[in-house]
This record gives sequence, C-alpha cells and structure tokens, in this order.
Amino acid sequence: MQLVELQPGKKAVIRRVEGGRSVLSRMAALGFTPGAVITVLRSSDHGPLLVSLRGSRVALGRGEAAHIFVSLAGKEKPTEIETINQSSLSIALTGQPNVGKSSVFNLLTGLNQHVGNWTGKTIECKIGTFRFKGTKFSVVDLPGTYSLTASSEEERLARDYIVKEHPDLIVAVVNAATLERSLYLVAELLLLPVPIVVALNMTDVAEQEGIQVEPKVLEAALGVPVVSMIASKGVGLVDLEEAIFRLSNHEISYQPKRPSILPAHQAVLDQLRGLVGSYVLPSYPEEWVALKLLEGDEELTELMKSAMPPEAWEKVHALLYKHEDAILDIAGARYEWVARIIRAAVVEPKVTRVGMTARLDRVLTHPIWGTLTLIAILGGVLGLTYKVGSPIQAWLSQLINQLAQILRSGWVQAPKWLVEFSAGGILGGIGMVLTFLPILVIFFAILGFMEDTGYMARAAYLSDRWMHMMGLHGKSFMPILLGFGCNVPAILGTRIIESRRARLLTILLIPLVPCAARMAVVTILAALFFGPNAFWIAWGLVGCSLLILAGLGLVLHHFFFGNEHVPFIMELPLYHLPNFRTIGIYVRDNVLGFLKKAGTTILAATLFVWALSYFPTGNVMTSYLGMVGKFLEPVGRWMGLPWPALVALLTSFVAKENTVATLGVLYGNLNVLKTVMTPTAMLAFLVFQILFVPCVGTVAAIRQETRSWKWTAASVGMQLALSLGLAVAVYQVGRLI
Amino acid sequence: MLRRFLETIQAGEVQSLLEIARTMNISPDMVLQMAKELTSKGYLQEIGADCDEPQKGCSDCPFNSACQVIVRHWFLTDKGKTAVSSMSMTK
Repeated sequence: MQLVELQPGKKAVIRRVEGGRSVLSRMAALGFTPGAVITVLRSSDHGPLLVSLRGSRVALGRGEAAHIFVSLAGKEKPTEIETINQSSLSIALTGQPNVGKSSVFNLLTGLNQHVGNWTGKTIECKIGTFRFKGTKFSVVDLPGTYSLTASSEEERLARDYIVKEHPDLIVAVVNAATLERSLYLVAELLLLPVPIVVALNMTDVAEQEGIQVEPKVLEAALGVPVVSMIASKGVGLVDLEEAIFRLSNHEISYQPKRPSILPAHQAVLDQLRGLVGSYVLPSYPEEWVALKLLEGDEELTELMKSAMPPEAWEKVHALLYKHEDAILDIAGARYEWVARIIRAAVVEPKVTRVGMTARLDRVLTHPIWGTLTLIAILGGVLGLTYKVGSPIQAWLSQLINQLAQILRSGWVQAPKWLVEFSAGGILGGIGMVLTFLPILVIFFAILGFMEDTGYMARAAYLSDRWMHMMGLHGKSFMPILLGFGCNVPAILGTRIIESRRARLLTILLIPLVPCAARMAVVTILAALFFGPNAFWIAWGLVGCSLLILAGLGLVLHHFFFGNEHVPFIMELPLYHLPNFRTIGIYVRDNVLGFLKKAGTTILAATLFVWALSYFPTGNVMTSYLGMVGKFLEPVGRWMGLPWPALVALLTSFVAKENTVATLGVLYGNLNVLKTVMTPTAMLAFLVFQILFVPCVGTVAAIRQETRSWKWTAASVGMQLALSLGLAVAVYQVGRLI
Repeated sequence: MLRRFLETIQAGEVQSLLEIARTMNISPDMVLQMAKELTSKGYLQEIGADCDEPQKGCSDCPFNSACQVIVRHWFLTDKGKTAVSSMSMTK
C-alpha cells in the first residue's frame, strides 16, 4: 500500500520508493529506503504526514508520501509468503499459461524453492529465493493468467496477490512467438503501481517460426526493461537478475508507457475516483479500482457495493450505468496499444500460415468456387468410399454367408433354434452390419483428413452462407447445422432461441436433417442397390433432404423470424499439414464407437428381431414378425416394398443402423433384396429411410425440450407422413415413367 | 478498436475471424481475444460450445465426433446491437 493509506499508529516496512531520479535521491537522503521501518504519527485528509523513521520525526507532503510503498509490519501470524517477503525483496512472477513461466522460476530459484498451496485453496503455490549481488529476492510463481479480470480461480489468486500483497517487482514472462497474446496482460499489469520487468522468453521458438522480435524496440515502446531469454536452455538468466536488481535499486528510470484513456473517460474516471476514494480498501490502488469499476469488473463492483453506504453507491451505480459502454474504449485502447507495439517491435516472416490460409481461403471459402470445390471434395469422398470400400464389403458379405452355410450344414447335432440363432441372428444381423466397417473406415479416414487440415471448418462456413441464402438465418440455423452430426445435440442446441414459437418450429425441422447415422445407412444401401450409380443416388437423396429443409426453412424464416438480421462470426483454424496419428485416432474413436453400438444397441435389437422372426413356428412367414409384417403389407404395396423392408425401417427407430441388421436377419444375404424389389421400389425405400421418423434418442430429446407429448407426436407424425408420402410418390411416379 | 470490431460484425452476414482480421489489419489471434472479451462483457454470445460438452445421447452415438466439426460461432447480443446503433447515432 501507499504510505498515505497507512493509519496513524500503524507500523510498516518500506517496500519501495517510486519516481524520477530527483525524488529517489531526496527520499534516500531522508532515510526512506526499502527495508526501513516507519510509523505514521499523524495523518489527515489534507496537509503533511508526520512519521517516525529511524528514530527521527519527519514531516512529509502527501504528494511525496504517495511515492512510498509500504507493507504492514508485525501482523499476526504472517503467511508463509509474507514471512519470506519480509526478509527480502519480493518478486511476483506472472504470465499466461504456456509461456515458460515455470522454467524462468526454476532458473531463478534453482533448488531454493518449495511447493505449497495458496491459503485455503487447492491451487499449487511455488515460492523460492535467490541472491544477486548481495541482495536476497523472494519469488512467488503466480498461477498462469490471461488477464486481470479475475474470471477464474487462478486469475483471482494472481490478481489478489499483486493488488493486495504489493510485491516489490513483477516479472512478466511473455512468449516471443505469441507476443501479441501475452501483451494484453502486460497492458493490464502496467496500470498497477508495481514496477515490471518483461522476460521475453522462447525467443528460439520465435526464431524457428521466422518471427523476429526486437527487444530494444520493445523496451522503448513499453518503457520498461525487457530481457531476451530462452529459459529452457538457461539463456538470459544473468540479464534478468541484473534487470531485477537494477530496477529494485532504482538504477533504471521506470517510465512505463501505459495504454491511453480517452479524455472523456478520464473525466468520468476522476469523478468515479472522487466518489469511491474514501471507501476503497487500503490495500487497493484507488485509480485502478475506479478503472476496473468503469470496465464493469464484477468482483470489484460487488466489493465496492458492500463497502459503500447505499446512497453513496447509488451515485456510483448511476455513473457506471451511464457509461456502461466505456469498456469498449478502455479495453479497445489496450488492443490498439498492443497492435502498435507489435507493429513496432515484431517482424513477421514474409510467408506465414496466416498468409497462406488467406490465399487458399480466397478460393475455398468463395461463395461459388468454394461451393464447387466442396461439392467436388464431398463427391470424391463418396466416390472413393464406394470405389475402394464396396468391393471389400462384397467380399466380407460373401464370407459371412459362407460361414452361415457352414454353420447350418456342419452343426447338425445342435438344436435348430440355436443354429438359426447363430447363423441367422448373429451372423446374418450383426455380422452383416460389420461387413460395412471398411466403408466406414474409409469414410472416417477422409473425414478425419479434412478435419485435421482445417478444411472441415470451411465446409461448415460455406454451409452457413448457403443456409443464410436459403433463409435459415439467425439462431435457428446453428442447431440445424449441428443436426448433420447428430439430431440429439441439435435439438438441445435450440435452447439458444429465445422465442418459444421459433424454437418449436426449429425443433420440428431438425429431424429432416440427415444425421451421420442416416447418411451411413444410405451410403451402405445405395451401394448395395445401385452399384456404380450409388454415388449419384446418395447425392440426390441428400440434395432432396436439403431442398425440403430449405423450403420449410424459408417458411419458418419468413413467417416466424420476421427477416431478423443476426450477423455471425466464426472461427476458422489455419490450414496445416495433416498429422496421420491424429487422423488414426479419429478413425479409431469413430470405429470403436460404431463397434460399441453394434455390440450393444444393434445386437440387442437384432436378437429381438430374430426372436420375433423365428418363434413360435421356426418359419419367418408364420412367425410373430410375419404376422406384423402381413398387417403392414398393404402399406408396403403402395411403395412396392415387401413387408421385411418395412419391418427393417421400424427397427431403425431404436438406432438407424438397425435397418441393415434387420434386413440381414430377415434375408440372410442382402443381395436377395435386388431380386424382390424393383429399382423404383429401392429408391422409394431410400427416400423412406432418409426421411423416416428419427431415432428414439431424438424423440426423447424433442419431448424433453418441448415438454409436450402433443408436439412430440406432431413431430413424429409429420415425419412419418412426409416420408411415407414422398416414398409413395417416388414409387408411383417411377412406375409411370 | 472494440467498437470497430462490433461494427464490422454488424456490417456482414457470416464472416470468419480471419476475414475480420484482414479487414481490421490485425492478427486472427487478437480478433479471437477480442471476441472472447466481448463475450465475457455480454456484447457477443458464443454458440457451439454446447457441443464441446457431451450431451445426453452423445456417448452412445458412434458419430459423436462428427459434431466436433461444428466450429465456434459468435453473434451480436441485444447489448452489442445497442452499442453499435448508439455508435452510428453518434456519427
């Protein structure tokens, strides 16, 4: 705290004296040097302070006293940090996470360190000491923090330590390779009345990336000492120690160049300071508190609110409310300050990833060229999947059929139901699903490649643009976009839509989005039904789904969102070379997930379907499932579908992949389907499949989010009517052609 | 700079942080930092973060990682829109 804040009768130790050379030499001549014990004998709001120092009484002007920083002496039970700090000059080591702060700490303190916890917290606290030119320094390694806004426990601890404990000096560790990110914290630290040394660490990493940082230019721009370091290799230690020593001994003039504040806001700040001044806790710097209040700092706002009488706080609150947007100028000035310093002190390489990304994005995110590229790439994905995956699938399918044959002919002693259970239920159902694994592996490998290079985000970006053009503006399109992965989180994602009516309609639209599971089934069945033409059929089906979605989206947007303009920004990663390990992990996770589902949900449903198709007679036509199937037969005739196909669709309610498993159980060999269904019926079946009622998870999510069985039934009914209607239309029109 | 950032967002439909960085002649890193700051102050709302957290049903879905392709989005909140319109009124 400043000496002027010390209550009369209180004893304190001088931590440091700030100011120009003349102030420092005058103070030193009077005996005001770090470590001296001082007691305030008399203090008033105006007029000089009378203090006792080194056995003498000294009168000191308030302006002069503001240059002297002290900490209370003889506090009861000093903390561990305070005990160390009292016997030495204290240094707070601060910086963002991953800037090499711990390396700098280890380098400074060597073995003279120990690890504890912050009082009452579980967060690690490292304290250490070192000596340089006879002076002992204590170092506290503060938790990594991005700013001083105290938005996390770590940030709160770091901020509280700097603000309340008043270290003698701060060493701000910054990463030379990502200097811009680190400088915002420096901008905030400079506002505190504690001198700073900037440790410009990881200069070797910056060099490797072709980034040149000029330490001297940075020093001149910041107005504080800057030391170039490679802490991991021990480079720059002596320079850092020297800078710390010289700054703490006032051998270097300290004139930080802080971010500016607009004159209009300076007036408000002065007004605010006047209002809160007498209520600010002694340990807090008054100007900093006023500034943080103007920035809307929640913690300090609460603190001051509780410290001030209600009528006084009302005035502060009114002033803050009037200047609510001051944060835009205050923080905005900090960003400008950072940008200015970067422009002055950092030379970027001519060819950067940002530059290359920008050049590539000119084509890849262009509304026309980008979309054409996207279509070509997605077409290539499906094409490659079919070209390479389908022959392997056909071979595996043949293998499964042969195994089933061997089982039926070789396992004659076993009960018939057990043989059928193994051959028809397990091999015919789950085995048939697993034959499609190669197709999925190729599909996920390409998807993983696209994601790892940064292209997948561009696909989402282009989709955003097209959805905007289709009328799916505003907050409805984000959940819809999410639906391409899985409908369940998409339904839950509609929570961002405030209007209940718009939210409800978005929920009704989402099941029309072909999720990844539906896409996988369509990919598999299209290959089975249409062979070399599968690519065009699969594309056409997705296109039709999107057209229906767009049509309904237009209605939704026009009638319910009132052409609301909701501009978005989105994060696009920089392009980079693919990492094949990452792609491998991506494929492994997805395939394991699929296998897990195949071994649980799909297996259970398959066995249930098998049991229904076997019992009570052992003949599928006269089984329980056969009875249900015959009941459905008239509906199937509208689309040219045999009843097993309808039953397969019904089982997709549990999980979409069940369609394939059920067809496997009921037909044994899926190629039989081509003999019992015409191409038009096959197309109608795929239309029915892609638009059919969503899975049970999605229906449960709809019920949860709408909190209405009526709307849940409406969603299921609409989807059923749409899929049935269009499938019938496709078949009937197809027959006429 | 933050005011200019908000105005740039309001002026477009869908923009990427990279495009905004180019427009404002600053690095994408700084734009991201500004987006985060404005989100914490209530001028922007971030969406898409929901998908970083597994949702009910995600754990059983074999395609759950497909959701991860959905990139982070931010849109102007009412507070953000009011700030932008008050800027244009001042001009």
